[in-house]
Amino acid sequence: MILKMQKLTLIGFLAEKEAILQDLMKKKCVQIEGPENIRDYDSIAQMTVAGVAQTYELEQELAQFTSAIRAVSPYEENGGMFAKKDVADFSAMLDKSLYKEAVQLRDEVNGIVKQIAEQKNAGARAQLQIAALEPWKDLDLDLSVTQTRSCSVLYLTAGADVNLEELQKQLEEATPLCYLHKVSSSAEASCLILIYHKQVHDAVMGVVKGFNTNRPDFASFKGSAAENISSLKNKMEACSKEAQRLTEQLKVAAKSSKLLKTGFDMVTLQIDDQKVRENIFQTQSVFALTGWITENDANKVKKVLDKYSCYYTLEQPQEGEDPPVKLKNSKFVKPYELITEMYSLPTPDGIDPTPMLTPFFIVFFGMMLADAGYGLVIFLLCLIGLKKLKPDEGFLKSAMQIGVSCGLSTIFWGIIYGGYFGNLVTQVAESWFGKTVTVPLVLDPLNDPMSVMILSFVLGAIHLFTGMGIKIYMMAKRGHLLDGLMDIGLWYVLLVGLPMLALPATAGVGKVLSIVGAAGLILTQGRHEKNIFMKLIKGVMSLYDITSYLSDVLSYARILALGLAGGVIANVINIMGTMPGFNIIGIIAFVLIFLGGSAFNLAISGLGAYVHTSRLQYVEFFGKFYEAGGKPFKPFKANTKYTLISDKEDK
Amino acid sequence: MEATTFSQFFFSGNFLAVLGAALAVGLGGIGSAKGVGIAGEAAAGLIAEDPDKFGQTLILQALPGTQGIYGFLVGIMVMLNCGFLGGSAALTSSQGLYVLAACLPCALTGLVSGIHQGRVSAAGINVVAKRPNEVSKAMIYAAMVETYAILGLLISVLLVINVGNVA
Repeated sequence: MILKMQKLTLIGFLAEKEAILQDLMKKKCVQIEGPENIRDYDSIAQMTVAGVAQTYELEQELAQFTSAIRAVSPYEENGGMFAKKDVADFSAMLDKSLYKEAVQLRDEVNGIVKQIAEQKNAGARAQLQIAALEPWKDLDLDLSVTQTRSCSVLYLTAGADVNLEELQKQLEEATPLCYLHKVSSSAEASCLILIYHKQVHDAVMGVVKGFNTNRPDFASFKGSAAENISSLKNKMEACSKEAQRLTEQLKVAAKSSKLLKTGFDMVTLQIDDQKVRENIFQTQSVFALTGWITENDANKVKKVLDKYSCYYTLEQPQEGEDPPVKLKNSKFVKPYELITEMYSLPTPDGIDPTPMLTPFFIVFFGMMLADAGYGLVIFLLCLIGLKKLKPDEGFLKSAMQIGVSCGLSTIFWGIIYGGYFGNLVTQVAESWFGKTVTVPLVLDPLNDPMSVMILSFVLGAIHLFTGMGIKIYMMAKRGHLLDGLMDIGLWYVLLVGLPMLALPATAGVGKVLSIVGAAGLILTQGRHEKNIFMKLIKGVMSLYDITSYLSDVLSYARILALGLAGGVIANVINIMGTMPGFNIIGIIAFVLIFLGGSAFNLAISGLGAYVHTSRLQYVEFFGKFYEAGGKPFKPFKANTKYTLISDKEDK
Repeated sequence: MEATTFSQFFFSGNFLAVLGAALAVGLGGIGSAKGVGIAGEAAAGLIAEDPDKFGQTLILQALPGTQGIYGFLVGIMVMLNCGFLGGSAALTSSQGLYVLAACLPCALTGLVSGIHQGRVSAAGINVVAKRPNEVSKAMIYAAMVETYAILGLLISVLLVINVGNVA
């Protein structure tokens, strides 16, 4: 059922704006729209200015909360996808002191994260320096000494291509007042120390320049390389210890991650509250807003607004206005709104197909999977999921509820087809114990596929006829009952008559029905044409539509095909599983093959059953009548991520 | 034992039936392998940007995999119905040809629809990249292609089951 919408137009004093908005947000039942939807928009547009959403700073706050929450999330207990949400009162979400606490914790966490990063950086830096000093560790000279009173000390690293003997020789030739010593050498480079008298600086430099050498920067070191290495190692250890200590602090903070999440949601609420301001027009003393509420909620909103000295109206939607769509169905049908929403919501003046779609979805899904064992698995998984996780309204809950009812249907059709994890019982009894066991069944899709196929077609025809019936109903509701009867009712007559021709017992009636239907269509389908010939041609041409009805019905053959496919794969798993024979290894192999294979088959066949059941709804069923394109109803509320704001009235 | 010439062997019922099963499994498998491959490439590209969409893309990637399963299924049905599993298969040439022909609907539709379903799935993965909530619509598009593989499977299975009635 599509809920009726009413248009709310509200004009109030600025002094009360905040309070009114807060109350509306709390009630979660008003969708606020842009001011251009106010009915006398043109006359007030010039007097007013649009509100501004100030979200920049709030977004920054939110980003900081996000990074804090991410930092503590690895240390959280029982987090994860299925974590339960906290419930909080609306007023608690506005609590300034709680928010302050949250910010404090957030800044603390972010500070710790920053410090950890610093410690890690320092540690990495120390490691790099150690690596650089490692080749010099045999040198017991103080690295900071670059000269004595009369001598210069030069540290050099020479590339692998440098011929050290040549360097030595050239230095000796240039001056006797120098001393070259090799500290260490590796495949890539040699580390050298060169001591020379200051007088011969130029001569020595002249020689050194001719070779590929570098001067490492030891300016920041004091003491020998070995001393520096050990102190750096100490530093590294200290850094990692400090990082560990900080991580422990983070773990402590993670215990109160709830507070961070509450803070996050508090900011989200503020952002949502700000965003709606773009849709509110105001002068210097009053503001105006417009939006939609469902008729059921009208009294709730009236009660709230009557507290204030504001002016408001609630009216039916007018021609040309496009109210949002909200569906309401019984508890049993409600989860299947998910299927409707996945296609598209109905137009506001259309019809909600969910109640009609539900029984067919359940039956078709059951027939396509058709295995009592798989059905039981789906049923139990979804039931336990609903009981244990208690998901709040939304995709997960709906999907699990669908799983419960479709699981039951799968069990039912499994019993009809005699499928219990395929032919598990028969196969095990035969190949391990040499006994023949027959499982009771009503229909055997493998040996008598035609019966199941005809059943599929009949159910498909009922499905299609239901869709066509809804179309007639919709046309009647809009005052076109006669058109509906001519365009669709006559097809009913023809389509019921044609299959009856096949059976001798009903052939007589079938003939009459077919002729009446076909003649009726020829005579009526050209009624919008002016020319008599065109009327006839259009009428005859309309019979060509029979092909589309035929292909629609044939499409339901997939019910048999998917049921067969799933069943045969299950049988194959059982056959392969029992092949190793009845002994210890055989039983272990059987359990492995059976569990793995069944999980695979359940996943693939279950996915297939879901997708193809949906297709039958969307293409064959919806194609007959459905008018899609409604906009979803999005009430003004706080879209909190971690907290559920309780529906209960605040005191 | 009498000598078997090549042509005698070639037209033996058993060989023709196995050829049919091989075609169903092989062509269906090729179709699915290509389809799943195409979809997988697209999915990997998306995962590089947004690893959270792994589940959704995996479902889309799995969809073109069914043709291979259908072919495998027909292969198994041939083995079961012609007695290849028990080792007592003795088909006449006409029975063998019947089985070979019966395997073709599933083999051919599987080959072509698998590849094309893979392309639709890959396009669907692009949908998931931009609008993750619309994944089910993308799945329906892919399922539209699969319809013809299902019809092929259905006819092949019905024909193969009926092999006992063929002289």
